[in-house]
Amino acid sequence: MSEMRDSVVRPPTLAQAGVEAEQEEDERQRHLPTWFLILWRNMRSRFGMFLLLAFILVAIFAPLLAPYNPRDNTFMPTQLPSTAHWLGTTQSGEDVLSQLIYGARTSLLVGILAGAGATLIGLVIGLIAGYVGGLTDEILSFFINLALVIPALPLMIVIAAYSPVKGIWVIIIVIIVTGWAWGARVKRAQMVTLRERDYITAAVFAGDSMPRIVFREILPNMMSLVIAAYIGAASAAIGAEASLEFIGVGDPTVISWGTMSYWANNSGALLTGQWLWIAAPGLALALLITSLALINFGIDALSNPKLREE
Amino acid sequence: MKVSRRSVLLMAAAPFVPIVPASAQGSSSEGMVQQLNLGSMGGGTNPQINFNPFAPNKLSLGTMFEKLYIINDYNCDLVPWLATKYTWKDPRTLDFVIRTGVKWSDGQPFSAKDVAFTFNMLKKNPALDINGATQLMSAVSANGDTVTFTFSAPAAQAFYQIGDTWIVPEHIWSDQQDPVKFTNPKPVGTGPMLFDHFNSQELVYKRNPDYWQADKFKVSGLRYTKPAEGSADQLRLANGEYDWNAMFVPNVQKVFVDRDPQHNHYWFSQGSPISFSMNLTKAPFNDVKFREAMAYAIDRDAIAKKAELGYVTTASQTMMQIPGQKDWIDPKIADQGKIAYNKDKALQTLTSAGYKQQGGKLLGKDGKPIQFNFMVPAGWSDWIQAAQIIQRNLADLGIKMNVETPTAAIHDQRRASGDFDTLFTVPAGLCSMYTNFSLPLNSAATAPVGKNATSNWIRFKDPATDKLLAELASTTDPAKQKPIVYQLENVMMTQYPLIPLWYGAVWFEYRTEKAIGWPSESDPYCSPNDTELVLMHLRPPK
Amino acid sequence: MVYFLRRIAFFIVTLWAAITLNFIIPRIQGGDPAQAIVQSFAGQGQGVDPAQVQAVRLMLGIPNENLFQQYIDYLKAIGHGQFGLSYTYFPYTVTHMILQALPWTLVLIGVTHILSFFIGTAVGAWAAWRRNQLFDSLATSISTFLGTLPFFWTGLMLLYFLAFKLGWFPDSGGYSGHESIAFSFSFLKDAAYHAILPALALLITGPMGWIMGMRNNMIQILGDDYTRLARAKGLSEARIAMMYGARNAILPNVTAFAISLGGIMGGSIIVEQIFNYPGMGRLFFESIGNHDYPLMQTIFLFITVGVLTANFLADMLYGVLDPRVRRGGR
Repeated sequence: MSEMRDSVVRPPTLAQAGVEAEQEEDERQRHLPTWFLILWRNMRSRFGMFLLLAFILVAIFAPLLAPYNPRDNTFMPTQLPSTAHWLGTTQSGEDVLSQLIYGARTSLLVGILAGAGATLIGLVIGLIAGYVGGLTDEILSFFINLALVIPALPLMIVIAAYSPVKGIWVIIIVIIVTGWAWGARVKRAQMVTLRERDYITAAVFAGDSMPRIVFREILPNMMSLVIAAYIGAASAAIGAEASLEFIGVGDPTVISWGTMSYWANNSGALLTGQWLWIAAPGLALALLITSLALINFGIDALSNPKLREE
Repeated sequence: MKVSRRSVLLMAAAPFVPIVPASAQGSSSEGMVQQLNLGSMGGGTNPQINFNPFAPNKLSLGTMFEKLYIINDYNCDLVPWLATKYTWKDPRTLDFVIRTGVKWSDGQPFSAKDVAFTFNMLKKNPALDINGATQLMSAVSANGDTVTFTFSAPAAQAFYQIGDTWIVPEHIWSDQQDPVKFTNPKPVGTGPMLFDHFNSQELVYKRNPDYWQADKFKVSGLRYTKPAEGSADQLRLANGEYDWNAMFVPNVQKVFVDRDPQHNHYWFSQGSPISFSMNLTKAPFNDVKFREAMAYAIDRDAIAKKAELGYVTTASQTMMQIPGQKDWIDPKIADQGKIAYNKDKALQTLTSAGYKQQGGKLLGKDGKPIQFNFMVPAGWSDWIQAAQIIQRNLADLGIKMNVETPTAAIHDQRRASGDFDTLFTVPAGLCSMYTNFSLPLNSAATAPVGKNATSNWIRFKDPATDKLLAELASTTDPAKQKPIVYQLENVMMTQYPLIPLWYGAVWFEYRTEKAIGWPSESDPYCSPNDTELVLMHLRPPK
Repeated sequence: MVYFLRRIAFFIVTLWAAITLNFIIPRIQGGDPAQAIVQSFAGQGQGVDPAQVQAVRLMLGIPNENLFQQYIDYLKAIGHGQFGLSYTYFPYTVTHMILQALPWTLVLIGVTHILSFFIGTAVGAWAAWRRNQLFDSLATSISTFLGTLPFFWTGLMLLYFLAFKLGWFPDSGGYSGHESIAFSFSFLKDAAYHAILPALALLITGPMGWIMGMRNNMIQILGDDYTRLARAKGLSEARIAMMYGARNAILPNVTAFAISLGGIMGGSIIVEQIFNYPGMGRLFFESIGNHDYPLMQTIFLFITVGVLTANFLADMLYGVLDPRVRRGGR
């Protein structure tokens, strides 16, 4: 997926020096987290945050914003856009706009949950591999590399198609299972560099326990990395969900932008000239992922001062 | 159980192919229909040469091969074809008199020996016996122009399976070590069409000038194209590239007919009844009163109009197709067995049987609210919509029905093993009345829950029905079959083992630019599935 | 040397893991391939004759042995390069089917992937050199948005506007029916014409990842000490950008190129589906639906081996080009 490529080419070595320098600079503004300020200063990521907020608000207030119930199929089917139905109606007589608005919920849910799941697994495996080292590292690294080279989408399609049940949860689990590896690899690399740092060595000699070192000393220094990984995983998950639903291995009874595209394509929307029915969910999807990508600009800058805007 | 292989081959679609000018097709002779484009060539997304008529993935055969009888799918007329006559000596012995003067397309004479060879080959290779024609057959032999079949049990229904089997030439097929793997790349048949050429984008047939009824056959050639899915193919239909197709089109009037009202036409006739089917081993479905209430509780018109876009008509509780099989319906049954949506009657039936409505919920006889699952294969969009309508209908009575959509494979597996509450099945719709009732209702076709049933998935067991079916199997005279069929219909009307809802549509779009004489609602001489009969009727436009 | 041996060992073990995964997944669900195939040829909602399902079951001869025995047989067959007969296209072999579909996908993906790489890398380098100027802002903003468009969306929009509405391009298929597959000018022209829309669908989102990757790498390098040194020495900006920036920044992109092959394969499944393109993606998707395990497993194996081999070669190349890697063990 294209989202995956974005994360692939992100420079693997992420300097932390910049963050530390910023911390002194922003001593006065302690009430706001540093990372947020850096993101805020970056025009692109500020715009991205607004856009994302807009999507979140639409999802939360969907029942107020949507003109109709998205499952209400009592309207005339296959209508072209009109004042009553801005984006027309589906083949079974549902309002397309209402479905579009409710669809934001599914995409955000998938992004939040699948992104969190993939990030968490990646974090745990990456940290263990990087911290413990030795044979454990060898074995975990093997699994990380294995999961990286097995083509994700074909694997997702096979698992989703052969899963005995259908539903959004299956899709979320499939995405987590196939999507954790990149985060794990980056975090392992980061862990390996951090482990060599003096203050960690000092902590080890002082007899601190491993969880304490990991949670108190290491994790705080990896925050930007974790957030970046989370955003990357969330956008990949949102895109993957839509693709799986579109080709029909998901659950077509869920209302999401992917299933909307699936129904539009399978109900002859191209033939009846209802191109907005197809265009709208895909565009909404692209805008949501764009908002995440824009935020990631700021995060790149967070970890790599050279990319910061003057 | 609807066995319409021909419609199968016409299903779906094809890619971008410019229309070949008619002059290139070689037939300039007067009174001939130019080459017709019939759409999908079959054989999957990457079609390979396969003219083995018994293979599931064969290409469209384009009437190269023929059968002993053509069973008119619409009105169930029996049209003598490679056989001129059939006689039952007794319910275990069937004779066919084979037509003389027919030649294989390589010039060799066709004879009764080819017929006997074909059925012996099917008997020896059950993997080829897609009709089940030889399941009860114990022997077949040719004697002069007569072929005699003997059966191990009374088998009046076997006529339909035997009559409906492709006949292949002995002099080609007897050389095949493994006919199951034979792709028949140089097909030899008796039919009106000869194989011309194939690539993965198109398959072309030309007229066989030496066909045994060539004087009546006026179509000069057939062209099939590679199947595609979705809108691209529908667009091609709308643009008039297909002279004959069998695809689902949303809003067919606007999308297809209105583009060229003079030439574009469609006729969606009635196929097998799609039926609400309950697992009869479970409560409340084991209660006939509950099932009766279901027959009134479902709004069939809403399904036909909403889920099926008004392309279909509602079904008769007798399972008979209306109008095609209306003569088979017991005249004593009111309204030909069509049951109208009547929520009040449904509720009344339920309450008088001991079910109670309380706080908007319907309580079962055990006092617990009634709720169950309905299973639809994932992605079968019109069925899912129909299930959602039923869901709302039942909610009005206080019954909670959850719609679950497992994959088709899981659906079929759970259906076979009885691991379901309710689902849709597609029984009947054939001309063999025995098969229509035996597949869904015969206790021999079922199995205990946990074991796979072949076709009686609802697990209906009724000795009286079994006895009627046995009687039907030993009754060879159609006039005497009727009273037995009436009694079976009354089983449907009183026991409600299945609730037929609507007749699946037989998709059929056609153009009158190159040919006229198509079957239609006003002239339903056959079903569009009867390719041979349709082609024999076509004439060039005046 | 150890580095290379490790890469080879990883290649082999990964291959085994992929093959095994491939064996397990479809068998978790179960389901009867005969039923699936008969239903798929009959069409949705059509009843099927149990006699035909039984005939197909006999025809395919689906194994009844226990799973372990099936697994052993499967490994042995793969070892001998025998992938068996396809269920959907019985009696044609899996190899026959794949060899027919492979060229279409190889050409489609190969051309678009390489084009994407070059376009993206060039635009990215230019944007980094002209950092914070108009071109940079435009390139990064537009590519961010275009890069997020789902493949199915670009595919359907191209199909609707360029094929359905304007009729400039064919709406599906790999070539026209009146052509026959041959190494002739008229066939190649026809095939290229049919490939334009699927290729465009892949090309619109394709270069975007490379643009950002190249830009960020290059900005990083242009800020490095030795670039500053070069600047201090008075070398021209253009020279610095080309000699130091682009040359060094492109290295990480080369590995990414190999890894991303898996991603583009996923895109091709969707695009081939939309344009009814006669390639591997469509064959793969069909085989999943039909429970055609022999075909599905082998295509998945092909895809995995392709990606693995690309990664392996990239690793090897890296090991040769950059001696540090050999010691570090990435």
